Order: sequence, then C-alpha cells, then structure tokens
Amino acid sequence: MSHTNNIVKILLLSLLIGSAKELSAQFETLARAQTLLNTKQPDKIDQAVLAIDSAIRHKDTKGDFISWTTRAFIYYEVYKRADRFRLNSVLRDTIISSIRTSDKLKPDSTYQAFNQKLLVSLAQGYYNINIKLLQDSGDSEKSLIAYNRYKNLYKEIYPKTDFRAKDIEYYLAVSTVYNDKYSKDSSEKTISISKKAYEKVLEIDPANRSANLGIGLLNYNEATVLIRKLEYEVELDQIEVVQDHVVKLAKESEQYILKVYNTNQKDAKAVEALYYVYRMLMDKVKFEDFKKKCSELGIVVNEETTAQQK
Amino acid sequence: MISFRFQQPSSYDTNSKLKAVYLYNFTKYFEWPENMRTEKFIIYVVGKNDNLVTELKTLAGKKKVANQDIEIRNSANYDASVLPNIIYFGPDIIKPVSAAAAKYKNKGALVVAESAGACKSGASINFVTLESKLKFEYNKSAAIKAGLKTNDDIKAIAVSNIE
Repeated sequence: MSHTNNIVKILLLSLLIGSAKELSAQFETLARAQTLLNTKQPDKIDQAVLAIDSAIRHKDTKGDFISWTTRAFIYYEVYKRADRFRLNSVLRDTIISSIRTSDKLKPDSTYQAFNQKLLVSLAQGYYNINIKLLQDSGDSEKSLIAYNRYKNLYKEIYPKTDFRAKDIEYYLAVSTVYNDKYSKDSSEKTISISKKAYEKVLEIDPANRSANLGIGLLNYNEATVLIRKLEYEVELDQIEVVQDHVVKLAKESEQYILKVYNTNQKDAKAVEALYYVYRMLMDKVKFEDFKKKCSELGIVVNEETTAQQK
Repeated sequence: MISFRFQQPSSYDTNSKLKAVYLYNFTKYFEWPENMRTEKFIIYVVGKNDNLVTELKTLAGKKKVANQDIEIRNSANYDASVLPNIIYFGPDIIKPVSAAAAKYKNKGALVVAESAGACKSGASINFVTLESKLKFEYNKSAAIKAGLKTNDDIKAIAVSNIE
C-alpha cells in the first residue's frame, strides 16, 4: 500500500501548512496524532489512536474533516497489522465510519481523494479476503460475503463500474475450488455449490465457454459417480432407477457441451466430453462419430469395445 | 484470482459397470446344475472389451456366487472348449451364439449376448439399449434348454420375453 504511505505524508504536510495560525491544544493533539502516524511504528501508532480518538471527541476538532480522515488512516495502520484478513473487523468498520463522517463534513478535493483511496484499499482488502477464504478454507458463503462487500465499497466510489467480468471471474473461481473438492469428496453439497456458481456465470453470459463446458462436465461426472457407486448386488429394478437419473444428467450435460461444440467444432475439450457423454447414453452412431473426431484432433480416449468376431 | 480449471471428464466406463452388475445379478435368477456348482464360477467374455473384463475381475475379487469363487476368462474369439457358467458375447457378435447354445445344451451355461435377434439364435439373455438405458430381453426356453432352473421373477424385469 505505498500510495497510502504517501498520503500519510501529505496529510501531515497539509496540517503543518494549516498550523501557520495559532493552534489550539486540540489542534496540537491532532498534529501529534499525525506525527505519530507518520512514524509507522506500532507503539507510536497505538499512541496515535489515543490522540486521534481524543481529537474527534473535542468540540474544536470533531467537526473538522481532517480529524476524521486522519483517524481513518491511523486505524488503517492498526487494521493492516491485525485485521486485514478478517471478514468482520471492528477496525475496518471504524475506518469506514470515519471516512463517511469526513465525507459528510465536505472535505476539500485533496481529502476527498484521500478518503476515496482508502476506501479502494479496503475494497481491495475484501477482494483479497474472498480469495483467501476460497483457497484456504473453501468457504463459498463467507467468500461471497467478502466479494459482495468488495463490490459495494467499490461502487460507493465508482458507481458506474461494470462488474460483469469480475463476477464471471469470481464465480468461475468458486466452481474451480468446488470442482477440486468434489473430485475428493463426491458430495452432493459440493457439486451443488459448483453448479450454482456456473449458473451464475451463465445468467451473466449464456454463451460462456468455461461455464457451459464446466457444468456439462460436472453433470457427466456426477452421473459417472452414480454408476461407480452402484453395488454389484443391487436389485435389478434399482438399476433402472439409477439409470434414469444417469440418463437425465447425461442429457443435460450434452445440451451444455453442445453449445460450446456448435460454436467451435474443433474445441478439443468439447469433442472429448461429447465422446464420453454419447458413450454413456449408448448412442452408437454419435459415439462413433465423436470417436472419429477425437482421433482427428489427436485426443486419446478410453475405448469400450471392439468386436473381433462377427 | 484463482485461475479457472475444468474438471476432466471421467474415462470410467459406466456401461461396463452396468453389464457387470447385470451379469452378477443374473446369478440370483438361475440355478446351475450340481456339476457346475462345485468348482469356480466361470464368467467367459468373448470379444475384446478390456473395461468389462477389468470390471468383472474387480467383482470377482469381492464377490462369490453362493460358495463359488468367480473366475473371469476372456478371448477375442469364441473358444468352444471352455465350459463356463455364464458366457457373454460382446456387441454384434452373433454367429457363434447359436453354436454356443447348441454346444451347451443341458450343460448349464447361461448364454448372454448383445446383438439384435440373439435371443432367437439361442441366447437366454440379450442386452439391448432402450431410451439410452441398458436393458435385456429374456428367452426362458433357451435357459431351460441350457439345463438351468429358472425363476420367473426375471420375466417381469426383462424388457421383453422371447419364446
């Protein structure tokens, strides 16, 4: 956050320029808080917190946007140290409320820019938390909270931001994490989170290749797991029930993957996936057709049967 | 952000698993003659189908038919010298089906095929695909001719019964 360091120096400078007139005791407290902030030393920052909290309560300084922006920057230093990867942080809340108070006091353009830059840093912080939550704990619910907070903060500053590309990137990341999880746990909950993430992408961009292929492969692989889990001694009428479910999934899979294939008939991933889907659906004609297409594209597939004797 | 990765399509052959499950289940609906219940229960796969053979070998490692261990045999072409409990002819292998049915008359071998009209050529069971699902036709007379005692419950599950 080197830009916030520079801002801190400018903050101090602006206060010193303002100090040409005689300072009251509370303005001195505010100046002291800024000097302590500029040291960047943890113990001095802790002292800066006490000083600024005193300044924002005093009648001489509580109505000054400089006090509130300074407070936001001082708390930001503490936040960086302790709370930057916490989804819920009282320090972050204090920074945001200080910025909002400063904004209400109609800051000049310089301080307005300081406030905005700090909000952008906090928004970026939420974005980093969302990634960390996905990567480290695979917690999609908390990650979504962090992601939405990132967007909301960012929108406060840049209301016209188009988040569609970012949303697609986010939901594809969720599906990637949950796909990896599903390959290990084969759990219905896991696959449902991954599917919902793909569906979100398709709401934004119905032709999205990654989401169409992703959800198609997910359905196909889910069907495979159902058959793989089938016990050898299952009653014959139960095989029918499982097959009904498998066929439904495979046909859904086919529809998604065909969207990709129809856009690009040389899409190796789509061609390979359709080979396996048609094998599962026992569609001999299409299965043979896609087997040939795989061979033409140099894709090695697992083959089923070659009858030797007619 | 986390870079997007696709799942790989599973190469697992679901059709072979289904066939293995069916073949094992058929053992519940037939009774083999005494002489076919003393040694290993042989399932003989005719035709090249590595996935099915692998699946059946997995089955053989886990299950028995009554007290009999299961043995899986496989050859690309039909070998009449093998006397199996179940013989499965792979897709579209039709010519040797009638020869096998004749050869195993009263010997106690369940002939299973996967070709149009196989039940009329002497197979007791014929796998068919219907609405993208694996099902089977049943020929009770062929099973009786093969020397097997039959259980009519299988008739209700078969997609069609051929006499």
